Amino acid sequence: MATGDVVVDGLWKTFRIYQQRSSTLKQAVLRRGNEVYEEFWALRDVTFEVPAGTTVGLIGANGAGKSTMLKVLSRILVPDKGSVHVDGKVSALLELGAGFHPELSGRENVFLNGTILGMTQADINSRFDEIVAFAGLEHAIDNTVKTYSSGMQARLGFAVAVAIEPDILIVDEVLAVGDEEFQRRSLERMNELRSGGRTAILVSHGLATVQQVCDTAVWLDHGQVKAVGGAEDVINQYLRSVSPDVRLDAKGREHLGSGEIEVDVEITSGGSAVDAIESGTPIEVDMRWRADTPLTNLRFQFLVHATDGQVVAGDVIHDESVNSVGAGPGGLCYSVPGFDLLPGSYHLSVSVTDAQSGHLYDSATNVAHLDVHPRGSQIELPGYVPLGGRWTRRG
Amino acid sequence: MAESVVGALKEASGYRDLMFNLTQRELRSRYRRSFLGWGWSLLQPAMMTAVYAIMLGYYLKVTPEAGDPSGIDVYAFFLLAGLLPFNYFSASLTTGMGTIVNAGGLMTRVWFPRLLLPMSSILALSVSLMIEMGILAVVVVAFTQEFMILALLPVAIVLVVLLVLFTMGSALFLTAANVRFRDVEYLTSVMLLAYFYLTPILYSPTFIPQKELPLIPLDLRQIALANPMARFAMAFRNVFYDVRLPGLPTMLWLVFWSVLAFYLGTRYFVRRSDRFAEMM
Repeated sequence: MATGDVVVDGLWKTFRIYQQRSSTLKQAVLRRGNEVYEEFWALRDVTFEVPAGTTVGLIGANGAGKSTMLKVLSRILVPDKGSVHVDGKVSALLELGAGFHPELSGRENVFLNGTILGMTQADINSRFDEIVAFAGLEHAIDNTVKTYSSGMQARLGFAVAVAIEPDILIVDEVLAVGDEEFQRRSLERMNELRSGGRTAILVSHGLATVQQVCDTAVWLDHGQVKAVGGAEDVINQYLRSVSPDVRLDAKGREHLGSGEIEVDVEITSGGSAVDAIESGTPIEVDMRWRADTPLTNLRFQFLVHATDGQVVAGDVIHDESVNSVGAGPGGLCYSVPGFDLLPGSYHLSVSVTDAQSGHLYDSATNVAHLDVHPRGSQIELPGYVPLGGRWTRRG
Repeated sequence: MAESVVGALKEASGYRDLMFNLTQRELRSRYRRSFLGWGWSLLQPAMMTAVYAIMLGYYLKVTPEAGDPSGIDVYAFFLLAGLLPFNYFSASLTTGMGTIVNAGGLMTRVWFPRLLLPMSSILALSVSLMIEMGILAVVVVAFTQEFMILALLPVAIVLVVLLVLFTMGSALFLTAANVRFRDVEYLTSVMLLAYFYLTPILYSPTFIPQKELPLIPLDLRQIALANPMARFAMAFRNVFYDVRLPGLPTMLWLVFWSVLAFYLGTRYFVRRSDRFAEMM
């Protein structure tokens, strides 16, 4: 095994759910040691490998055993059967502010948490500024941690966890807490670790995140491995099982998701529907929906794809002013002052998800089509985006 | 994984900076917030000594024999030499035992050698013990001009090390047991009270009658002195009250108990610690 390899082989983990538990000596004596419990297998014969330098995502419904798996990998829980081989230095970030002491300052907590993760005092000293800068807490590092917001705690926790330069980084859902900027930097940092040959194992309900950062994925279902393989492939299998019935809308388009809300999109320009424009024309992406029940905490997204499916552009909104909808029809309009993509054929996909859990309410691909024609005497350029630069000759 | 005691201790030593951090945190939080700071930790034994000296030394006339060969006959010194180690033992068990149970969240969220939590809290108390012992030595020397005590200080340090081992072993055992049965804590505090009065600390071992016992070839005093804490009290008294070296049998007895308790306590703790997260 090389440093950074993780091998999970035939792993079983059981929990006892007690109906009658003797948690004191007094009870144990009174009940003469009788305890009544049921065994619950949280993990059943789980086998997978993570080669060094890859990132794997664990996906599955709540209670599928993902978090238990991470706890076994990070030694908090011991397996009942089977084995786990983790080769190298492990850094686990399982819960927000795990190991933070609310009464101590951020500075003291960096040292405490760092040493809990196995760093030496000297290591932390030499990286302290870097950690604080990454967390963006230069101004607040001497305040007690109880005054920190959950985002600040997540940032500090992540900053310390990656500072130890682990061979294997284990992350559970924590990244979802930070703001977009922090999430972007965290993902960047994880990619850096990956290209540095480090291994990462993460649990996320945001399937998009998994697809974005993971090479492979393991789908757990009731403690068993349902599928292992390329991230996209496993995610698709998972999605298909979660919403087995692909719905068709009035226009015969395929929709996925739980279906409490159904979105339709039209591209308009100057108030009328269009399916072909000249490059640079102002357009609107006109989203209309019908919801069966009131929903909150929504995240609307549309993506612009090229003919090969490549995402060229897109935007999301989960602003408080629009993220709740009542039952019935509703809509959102996204205006583009000048749709500047290079000539070609594009199509849109949309999705509505829960902003926190990532639960998919509705998604549809190919909901609108847009041909972009050259503007005037525009010459043919490679790619999708005009750079708008100018050539000048030297010498 | 780390089933063996040596393996577990080795692993823990890789985290010595954490141990240092935790100990420091413990010491700081104990003394930072109080106006008198370190003074508070001395107030408790001083107060107890004063009360016992009045009650036992003056009212009840419990007068232990004078130190041999020093001739010191101050009851307060006699008492403190035994009281400080016992207080340390008792405080270590009480605070050590809570460390794992009270760290519930930490247990289920991060892994680190679990030994560090009780050990660091006991280490912090050991620092206090050293300071108290140091002050006792200075006070006794100042009152009695027995400068030999200073020459015996290395022996006192050896005794402190043995006491720390014995205490850690006992505390680790009880800490792990307390995770399984949460009333071990209460039981222990009751037992400690009984243990305190049965251990010759307020009185000298010569107060225990040499009464023959049925079935066993030992008398009552011999049984009472098999108690390791009684031997610790006697050995510390040898240094600070009698001003002489403790006897070889006492030292061997203490080494035996300290090593045994430390080994067994650590072994039990390490074996149980894999399951701590599930028992929270």
